[in-house]
Amino acid sequence: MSVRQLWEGCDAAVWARKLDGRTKLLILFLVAVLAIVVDNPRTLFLLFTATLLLHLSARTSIYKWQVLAILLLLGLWGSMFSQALFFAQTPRTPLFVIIEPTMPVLGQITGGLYIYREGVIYGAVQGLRSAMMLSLGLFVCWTSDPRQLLKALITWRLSPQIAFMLVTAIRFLPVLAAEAGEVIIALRLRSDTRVGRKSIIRHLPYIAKPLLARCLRRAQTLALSVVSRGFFLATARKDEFWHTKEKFVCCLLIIFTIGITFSKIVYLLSEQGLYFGNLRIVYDWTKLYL
Amino acid sequence: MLRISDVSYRYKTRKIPTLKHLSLHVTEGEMLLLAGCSGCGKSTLIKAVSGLLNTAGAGELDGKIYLNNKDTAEMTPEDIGILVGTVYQSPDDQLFAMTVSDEVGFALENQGLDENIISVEVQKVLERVGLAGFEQNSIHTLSGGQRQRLALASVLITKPKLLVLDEPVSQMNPQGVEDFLQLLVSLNRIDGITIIVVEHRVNELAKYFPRLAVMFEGEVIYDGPIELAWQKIGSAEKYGLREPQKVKLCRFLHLSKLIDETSKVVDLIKSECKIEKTALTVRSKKACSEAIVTGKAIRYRYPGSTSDTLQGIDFELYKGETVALMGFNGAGKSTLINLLGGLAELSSGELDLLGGTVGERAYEIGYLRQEPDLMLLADSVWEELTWKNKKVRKEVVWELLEKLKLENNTNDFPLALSKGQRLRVVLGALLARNPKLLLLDEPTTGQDQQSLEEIKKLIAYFSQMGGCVLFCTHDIELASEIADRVIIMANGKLIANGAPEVILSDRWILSAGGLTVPPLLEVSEALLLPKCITVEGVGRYVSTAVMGRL
Repeated sequence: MSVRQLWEGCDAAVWARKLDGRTKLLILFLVAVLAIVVDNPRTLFLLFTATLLLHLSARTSIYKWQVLAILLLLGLWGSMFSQALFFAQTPRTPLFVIIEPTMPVLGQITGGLYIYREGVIYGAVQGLRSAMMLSLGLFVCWTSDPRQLLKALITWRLSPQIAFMLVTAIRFLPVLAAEAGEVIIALRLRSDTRVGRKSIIRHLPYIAKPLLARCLRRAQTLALSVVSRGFFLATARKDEFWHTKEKFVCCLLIIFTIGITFSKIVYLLSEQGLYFGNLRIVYDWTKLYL
Repeated sequence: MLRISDVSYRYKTRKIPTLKHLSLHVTEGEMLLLAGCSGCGKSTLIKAVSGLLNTAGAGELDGKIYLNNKDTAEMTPEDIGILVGTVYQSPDDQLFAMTVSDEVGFALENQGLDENIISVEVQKVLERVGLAGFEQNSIHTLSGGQRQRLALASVLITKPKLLVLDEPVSQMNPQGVEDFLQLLVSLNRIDGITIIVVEHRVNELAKYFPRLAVMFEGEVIYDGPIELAWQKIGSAEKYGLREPQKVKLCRFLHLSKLIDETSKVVDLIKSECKIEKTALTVRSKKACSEAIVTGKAIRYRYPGSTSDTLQGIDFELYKGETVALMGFNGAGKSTLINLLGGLAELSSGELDLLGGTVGERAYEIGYLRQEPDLMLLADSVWEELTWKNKKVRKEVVWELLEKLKLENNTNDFPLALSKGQRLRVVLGALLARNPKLLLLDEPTTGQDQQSLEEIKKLIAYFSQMGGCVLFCTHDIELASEIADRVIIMANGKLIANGAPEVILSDRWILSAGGLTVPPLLEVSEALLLPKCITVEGVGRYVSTAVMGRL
């Protein structure tokens, strides 16, 4: 699979490709709300698992799974490790000691360096939040046609110009990925050292300019092309058909998200002293699962 | 169909108008070839016809453009879009959707048509352009030629009366060009669509178009039958046109007429020139016997692939030699050039570069990739030539800049230069490293004649200095003019390796390598001469006309 194909969704299952752009964007938004509202690591993990199940049922290719896994593991590991090291709240329980406070110089400067249990959990929560969004975002990206998202944004009365600009970014993602690879090759070829000929990372700071210049040229041609194909007429899009089943699922999800958000708000209010006795079951449930 | 009446356009950022009192009349069902050098105003004219200039507010437009007798100033770009289908140079830049059928149906979706109608229309158009069966394919899995057909289909769906194509074949191989132009001819003859094609490669397209319009500095300097154009225009190179080789031959032999038709050229030569049948002197194969690259039994297999892309290749490249690497798309040319450029490792075999491996001698190689724009990294031309190159002296850079004809652009931003200049900057940056081997992947794609001549000069200069050039190309004329040797590849193997006049005049090799027959081969065969593929080649047997032009 080429780098270009990695960023497009022609190989996804038909049901995932056929899902309306509005359904996908709405789910993305609602899950983002849930990711903020929920603090419980187990529930977050469940939500995260649900996003992975979406990939599984959309028959995400092995290569894409590999990319997803690398991105997720890097994010999770980075978040957990950094929080475990620098967790500042109390109480905190050291699991390991990396630098003893009594160690000469470094120990005196740092006051000791530990891996904190609470930091690991806190990092996991933050990491799961971003992993969930990353996983769902890639699901949308790998199963959606730019046109689909464009239709969704326009039917939601977003200005066609702004919708076009937003979606063009997605449209160019596959091309951009392929061209970034080309620029790195060019940089390797123009490098004056043997290390430079092999390295990729050392060339990363220089790739922006040629890519940007190409993007500007491309965007101009694409804009001319879509204008002459009547894109800004968009007469039909305002009444675009949205499958009832999808609408129903979206409604359920909206109600579920509102319910979760409500539970969390009343729970937080109860902690501040605004307590209602008949909501006790909600408080208990929120404390346990959210 | 289209009437352009005294149109002038000046971009607000420029002092001189890009279009100057331009008038052009295209009747319904006509096929017009619009040619001219880079920057002559062709693209601006296309924008004006598509109604995309006056709305931009970036310049001043005077004069009138009528489409079907309706003033375009009173029409929206969308209305014009239904009448005029515009296809741009690079299909990648204009395709928007993920799959073929979605892309084609995009314009009808915008018109609010029912899904079932769209699907029927999409099927019809895909069949018309030869893409039936590709409906659910990703647009990125299509070949360059198929993508250009898709771009065409995406505008044909609205049943336009006029098709405007901006350099549609500049990135295609000869077979792709022929197929695409046959499709255009059939659209014109069967569907009655008026067609305007903007292109530099007049030499390849001339036979399909009865009418040629030539633009120069914003004006139409010639508009008439294509067969009379060469006589009237004078110097084609000045106007950025690639003259057909038969016309070049007529000029070379001072024939009384400049014609692009084999039978007529042959008759003219027979009546005006003296033909000698002396033995052919083939150019020497090697400029020098000192090998720069030696490849033995080279094999390469892409990761995950089940077969070898390169299947045991043996070859040598010599000092001071210019070698053309030709063949079908997918024959293994780019793979071989990537191995030589150090971008891939051999699966098996030996590749010796100046007594070491490619990795060890990487600094002795200059590799120009197919997309030179992506190799431009600095803020000025001077900086580009000295980028990560501490060894280069100022005098050398100045000398190079003069050779590249960029001495007045030293402080210019490279990406803002013209296409030809951008390519020359990258070439300059490679030459500033004083490489021993220069690898060029399709260096002349999309370049006009002037730029092409500059590139030829640079290649000649580099090989005279003792460098070795290996260039991938589909351009048979270029290969026959500048290469000392031609290597033809097919299915990962070398099928021919030798002097251009021998290799490129063998019809079996040409067919096996996916190459078109050189125009002058037909002429030399009709004259019963030994096989020739260059103007000079034919000139060795035919004395210049005594009764013809001066």
